[in-house]
Amino acid sequence: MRSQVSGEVSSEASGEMSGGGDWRNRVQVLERDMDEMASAIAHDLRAPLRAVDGFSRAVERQYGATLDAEGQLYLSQIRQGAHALARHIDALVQMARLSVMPLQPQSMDLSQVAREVIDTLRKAAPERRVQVEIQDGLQVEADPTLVRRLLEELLANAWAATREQPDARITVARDAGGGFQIRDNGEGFDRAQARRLFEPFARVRPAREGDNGLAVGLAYARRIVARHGGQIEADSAEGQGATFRFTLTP
Amino acid sequence: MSEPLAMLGRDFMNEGAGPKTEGRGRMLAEILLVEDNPSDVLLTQIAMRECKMANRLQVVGDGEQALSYLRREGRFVDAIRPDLVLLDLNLPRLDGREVLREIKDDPELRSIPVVVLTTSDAERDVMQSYDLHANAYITKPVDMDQFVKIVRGLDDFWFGLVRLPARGGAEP
Repeated sequence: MRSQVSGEVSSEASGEMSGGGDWRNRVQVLERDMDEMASAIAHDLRAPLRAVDGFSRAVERQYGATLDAEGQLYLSQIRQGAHALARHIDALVQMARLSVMPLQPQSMDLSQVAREVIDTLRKAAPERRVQVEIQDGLQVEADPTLVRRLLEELLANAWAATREQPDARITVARDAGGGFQIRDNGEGFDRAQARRLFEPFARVRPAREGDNGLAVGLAYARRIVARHGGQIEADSAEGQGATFRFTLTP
Repeated sequence: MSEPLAMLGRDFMNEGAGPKTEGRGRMLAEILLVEDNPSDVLLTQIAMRECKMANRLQVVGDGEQALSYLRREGRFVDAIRPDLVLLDLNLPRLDGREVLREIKDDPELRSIPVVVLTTSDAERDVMQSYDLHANAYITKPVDMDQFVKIVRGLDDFWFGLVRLPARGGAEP
């Protein structure tokens, strides 16, 4: 896990859009190496994992009738473990790929993307009543694919954080510092944990129902922001909502 | 190959598939699986059996054997031309990419559909495979339920929907 953390630092320092000649090239080589290593590790881990899941399933289907309830429970635990590990491997690979994906900045409308992301969240949870305010005309020069992913992660986070809030509100607006902010009135988090929020797999809050068991979304968000040479920070007081501020320029 | 899985590498028959075979009124499909991982071979067999595929599965464990099989060389002199090749990419001796290149460069073999079936989901592997004229690219999932769905999809598509070339291959 150490290498993951230092990889994060190097990518953050790279600030691809900020230039920097030799240093930038070296960082890019390192990042590519990391991507290849992640792919190789993922490949070698997935094959035996498929055997664990596949043969557990085969036992379940072919011999399930001869197993008592306890035996069946053990088998289903093996499969759940395999699936959880597979998701972790996928997340690590994603993380590495976000670092090396070619950046193609163009002028884009962040407000429009935010509206589309919220539409998707509403469709997935039509029972939720969430008041969303998105400031119009949030123009930015950035990579549209990565920025969409960034908003997906940040808005999904706000969406989940306001789950218990009967009067849920999310706002997307320009920040005083020239960047952008996404604010929610959800459960918030302990301010002392703010930095850990962006670490991959760091669970700051207890898992919510429906979570896939990973805490990687904000780590993806930080990496995307870093690719653009920007910064991201979170502020909150427990029970009083959270504000995520980010910039997409150095 | 490890001893407990020694049953692998031999012919694998999925006969007696019942109504499905009769309904289609065709011969058993011939599939060549090029796969070096014994567990993956066995899991593929299990999935095919579960899908009641009407096929004969031949298995070879490296790229050189794959080409010998297709060219009916050496111990493969009596090999039946497959209707479909399922090709892993990372193979010993001769890599899957090289096998693909050889097949698609060979006028005798190039009409055989080749489906790349690999653990890799790297974009460059996908691109390179299609550049080398793979007929399809499938990433093998970890989740066996998903894998069974993939095998069912392969069966429905290649042996239910599409028309395959005659087994005699290209006539000179």
